[in-house]
Amino acid sequence: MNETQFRLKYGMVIDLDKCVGCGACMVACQSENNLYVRLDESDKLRSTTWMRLYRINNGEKFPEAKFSFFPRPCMQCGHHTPCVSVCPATATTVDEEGGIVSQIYTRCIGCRYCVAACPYHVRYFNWWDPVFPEGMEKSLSPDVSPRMRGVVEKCTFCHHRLMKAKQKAAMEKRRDLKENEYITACTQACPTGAITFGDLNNPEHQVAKLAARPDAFRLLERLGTEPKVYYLTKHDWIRKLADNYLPEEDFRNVKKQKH
Amino acid sequence: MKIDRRGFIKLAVGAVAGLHLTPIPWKLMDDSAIWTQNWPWVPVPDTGEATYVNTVCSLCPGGCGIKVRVIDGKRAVKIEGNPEHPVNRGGICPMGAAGLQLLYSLGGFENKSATEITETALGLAGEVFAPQKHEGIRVPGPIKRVGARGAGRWERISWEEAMNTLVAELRKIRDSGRPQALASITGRQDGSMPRLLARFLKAFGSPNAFTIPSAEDTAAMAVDLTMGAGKSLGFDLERAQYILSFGSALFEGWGSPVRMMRANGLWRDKSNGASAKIVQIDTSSTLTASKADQWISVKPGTEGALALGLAHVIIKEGKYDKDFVGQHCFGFENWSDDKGPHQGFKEMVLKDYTPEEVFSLTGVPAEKIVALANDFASVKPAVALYGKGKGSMPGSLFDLMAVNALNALVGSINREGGMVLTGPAPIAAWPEAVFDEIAKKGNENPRLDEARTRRYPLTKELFYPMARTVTRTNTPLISTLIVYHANPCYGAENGDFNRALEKIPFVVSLSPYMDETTAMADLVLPGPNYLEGWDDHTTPPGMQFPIYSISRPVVAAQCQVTNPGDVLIKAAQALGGSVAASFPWADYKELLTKNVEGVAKAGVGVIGKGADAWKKIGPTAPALTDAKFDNLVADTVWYNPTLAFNKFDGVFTTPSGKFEFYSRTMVDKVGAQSGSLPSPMMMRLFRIRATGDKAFMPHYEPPFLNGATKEFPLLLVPQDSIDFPDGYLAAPPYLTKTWLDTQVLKNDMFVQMNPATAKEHRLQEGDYVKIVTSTYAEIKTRVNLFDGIRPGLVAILTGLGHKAFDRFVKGKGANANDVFVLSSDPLSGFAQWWGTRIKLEKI
Amino acid sequence: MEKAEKKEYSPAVIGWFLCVVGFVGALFVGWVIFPALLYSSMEQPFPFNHKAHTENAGMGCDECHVFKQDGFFTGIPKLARCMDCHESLQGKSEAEKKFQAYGQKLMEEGKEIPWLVYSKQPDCVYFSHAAHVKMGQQKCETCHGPIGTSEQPRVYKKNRITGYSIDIWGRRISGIKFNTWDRMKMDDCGECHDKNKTSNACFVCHK
Repeated sequence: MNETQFRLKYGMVIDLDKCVGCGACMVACQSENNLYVRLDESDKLRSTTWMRLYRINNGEKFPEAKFSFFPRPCMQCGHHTPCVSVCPATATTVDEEGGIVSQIYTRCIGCRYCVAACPYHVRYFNWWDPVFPEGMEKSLSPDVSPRMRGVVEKCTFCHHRLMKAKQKAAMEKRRDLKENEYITACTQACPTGAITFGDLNNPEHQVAKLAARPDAFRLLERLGTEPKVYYLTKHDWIRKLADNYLPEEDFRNVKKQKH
Repeated sequence: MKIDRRGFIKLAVGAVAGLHLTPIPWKLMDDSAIWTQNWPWVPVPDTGEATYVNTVCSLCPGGCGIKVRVIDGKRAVKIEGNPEHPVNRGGICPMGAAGLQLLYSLGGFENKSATEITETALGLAGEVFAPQKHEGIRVPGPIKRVGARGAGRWERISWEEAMNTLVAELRKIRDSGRPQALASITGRQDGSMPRLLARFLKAFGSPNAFTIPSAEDTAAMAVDLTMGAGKSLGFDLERAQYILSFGSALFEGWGSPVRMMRANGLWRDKSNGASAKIVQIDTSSTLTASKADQWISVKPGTEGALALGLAHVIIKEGKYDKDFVGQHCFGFENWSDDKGPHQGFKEMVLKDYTPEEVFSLTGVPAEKIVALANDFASVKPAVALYGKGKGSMPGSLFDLMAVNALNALVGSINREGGMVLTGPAPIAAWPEAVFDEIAKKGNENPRLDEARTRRYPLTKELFYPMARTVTRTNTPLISTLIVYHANPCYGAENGDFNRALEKIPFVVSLSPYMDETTAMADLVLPGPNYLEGWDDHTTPPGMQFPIYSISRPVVAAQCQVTNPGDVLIKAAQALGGSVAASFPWADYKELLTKNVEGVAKAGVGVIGKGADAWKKIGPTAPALTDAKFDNLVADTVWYNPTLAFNKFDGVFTTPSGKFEFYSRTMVDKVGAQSGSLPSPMMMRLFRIRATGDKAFMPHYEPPFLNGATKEFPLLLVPQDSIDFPDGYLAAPPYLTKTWLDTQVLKNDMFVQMNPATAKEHRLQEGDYVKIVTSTYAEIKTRVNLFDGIRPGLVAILTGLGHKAFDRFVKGKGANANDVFVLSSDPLSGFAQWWGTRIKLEKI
Repeated sequence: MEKAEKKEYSPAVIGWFLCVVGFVGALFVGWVIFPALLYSSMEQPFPFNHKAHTENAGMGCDECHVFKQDGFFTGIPKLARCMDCHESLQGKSEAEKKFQAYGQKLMEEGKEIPWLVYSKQPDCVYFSHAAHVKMGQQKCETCHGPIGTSEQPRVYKKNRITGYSIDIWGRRISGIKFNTWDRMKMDDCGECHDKNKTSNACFVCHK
């Protein structure tokens, strides 16, 4: 399958050793993207979180047991994008420069095929209408439209921020954005600086340099979905959890496999 | 003309054919499609111009710079970190990012703009306001209790009536000649507000201004005793290469939380060649322990012993900084004075804290202690940190002295990447308070928490014993209590406090939120949310240079609020006499303006623009020319990144002018009580078990824990998480999405324990248990198994189990404070909360 | 008589006649009654005279419809912008005096003029004026028509089902457009994007 090759490829590198799992990325994302909160958010199959922290354990016994986190935004898959290929309504596409997987809520028919297809669980179905407690609707951002019941939503790499950056560039008659002119809300919020965001195709950009590091890896790499979100860690046990590796499998060289 | 069936069909056929040539079908199809996309109950946010307003976050003492995105100057829609601010440099914590949900938690009363509310203030009087229906946490305006206390029935009153009620109560107390019957509680330590409140009480004539103590108090006491008064402890962490943390929850909220997380980013920044090593001494695999390069598990409460074990190895192997110890330390070698010879720190540690001895105390194998000590002494710059958990509760004095001694041994005081002594920001001194006879007499009374008395001569704040003192007597010791920025009805020992509250006839809350304590108040004078009012903030805990910042109103007040500072100033002026004379400011903002004048006068430092200040730290202070209030407001922050590393002239203000391993100040202050050198009897009164010179040096004192090990075999320890605010505020709704389903599920919370311990107690994952303490307090939780928890311990999240606040947190989980039985630290008397003996009963 | 007349037309003729009646009736309902029912006509809160500002006072569009540095387009100016000039009377017209009184009253109440926006799009639409005007060099008229020379606002026809102006569907009920500004549906955006070889990706215009 030939995908459109874009000049720009927006991607993210998350340094798991810097990340301390505080959840600032999650909250910044919720506030930026007008997510609503239900009285009980403990049913994680129903709790909508575009960015979500997964807690992972190394499985060792005391006193070797340790835990860590996988922050998980939408992977913005670049190859055979699983959700796009199943959408019967063309409500989700990869057709814009930069390769962000779009989600058009007013076009979505709520069949949830994409939710089933996504191997990363990044897609959320709106089982309920958005309800904001009295007063809190004042804090809704006009840049992102609140979603109605019956449609699917997901992380968009804060696409509206891309549009805002482009708009500012338009004022200055620039077509190209400067490095870091467009970053996602989670990138901006992260207190540890664990998230780096930018154009993966630009070898000068920090994000491309980090993604090229030998200890960079992606989740479920062998599915061949070419996610645009990379992770860094020096810990083998974390890296091993990125896919269903067999005990003896060489998980360090998996990136080199071609599809 | 008769229309038959055929005719009718033809008419219909014609009509249908015609219809297709009209807009009706196409238009209706289109319109109905659009109609289904515009349900009126799905909000459509108003668009407008977005601007950013810089201010300072006040949700914790961290003092981060934030910028708030505001639409058309009216609606705040997002809080982001300010990259120019020297504390957080662009980062933000989850609580800070969710701050708007505190501002806009308005439900339950008619949602009017500030001007409308002011206009109709009198019209609202008499309206009964019942928080049962009140979804939001904001208090809409001044209210007074109408039903039984805590029943939640209130009457809206005007600010005029509210102030009159308060002043009348205050006047009654003063007229009775017992001004000490006025008390105040605050949980805040930074900024002018707690000072102003304490000043109000002092001018009024009461010594009973209570601040809930935190790790800062332990640190301040240790600094006073070993390095001299007037300094505070900072850490040049960003440049440290070796961080040895004794139980400090570095990434869960210790110090200034965002700054600490940012430091982790710097320590781990391989692309900048960073190679810092973090070693965490902790009982269990906490977040910091998991994120550290090395985690060393110790028995609970023995961190100080391990520090002394490390000191032993470092001294024995001669790896200590001989120059620093020789020139700038006192009491290392044996010494003598007119009272005879004294044992030095060196001899004491070599004798008493051999690795084998320390192994028996801490459970850390001797060879591990030796290796760790060598590691710590060989990497420069290395720094040792203390302050258990988030630091929201005080720690053990001798433990902290031991960790400080470790820093002194490796010469990591006033060194790059080490421990740094800083002074306060040069804000202008306030005019002296004046006292009339009533005030003078009132202030002579002992504090109800016994701090600064014979029993606790070194301790400035204890707070917790106050509740027991009040409960014990029949005559009300406190007739009016003012609560500002504190929630003691939820916090530690809340059972005692709630009992004490029954003996306090009049409780005034200055909180903007309907928290547990406000719910028990008689009069609520709501202050502004932190995005609605003027305030200031002094150096956050752990920062290596002084900082002073101003927070300002970002949006119009959403409720009828008055700044608590203004409430105090107005009340003082209404009281008249010397109380009024002690409050010469027109309002709180004028006080802040005057503060800034002092900064301008000092003429040093930087305003704003501090993204990389820590890199530029130099020995000479940058000159400051534009220190005006407005500039400080626009850039939010003043700081002075001047660090005179390696200079020690006049740094230590102890009697010896050096860092004192043997604290002469302690000898003086403790001895002063008995007129001479403290007798062994005295020491027993202070519950110090060590004898002789050792008692005045860093040493290990076994902790006192309540309850018998046989009946209560498990130890309950608090588990810190930045996503579970456990102070004055409860979690705003957004934070509940960050909670794991192994922390909170439906309305139940989980405690974590080791699978082996669980097996011993016949417990399995998900089981419901009752936690029972030696005081027979109990709460219900569920069990979550994690191998990282030290066997024999049960780790419990703090910050859940609220009875007030909104429906997003109310009734979720249990309040860990209900089952923490506080013990008290020898000498300082500080509350020790880190270990409570419990038993688990399966339900 | 009636009988005789009855016999004049064969059932087939009557049938066809009815068919035509139905056809014409449907056309009448569809083109005349339906639009009248579907749209409610609304007046703007104040009869703004563009011409008085542009031609008489010689102002340019961008004096009131301002771009901010970050590319934000203010759209219809806020009342404060109007009152900047009309705080004191600029001319001698009755209309201005009336406006001044109206504006001052609203200012005191802290309210804005509740203008009805002809081009208001649903919330799912993202549109950047900066991208079109500054980068794409499009003229205001291309989408908004010759509004700058109008002497008084057109009647605002609000769709009772959707709540949007008829200008979105098309200024004519037929939806047929002769000018670029006659219609503001998604396809019209797409058409222009196609013509100018700019991206028609979904996310370019949707949020």
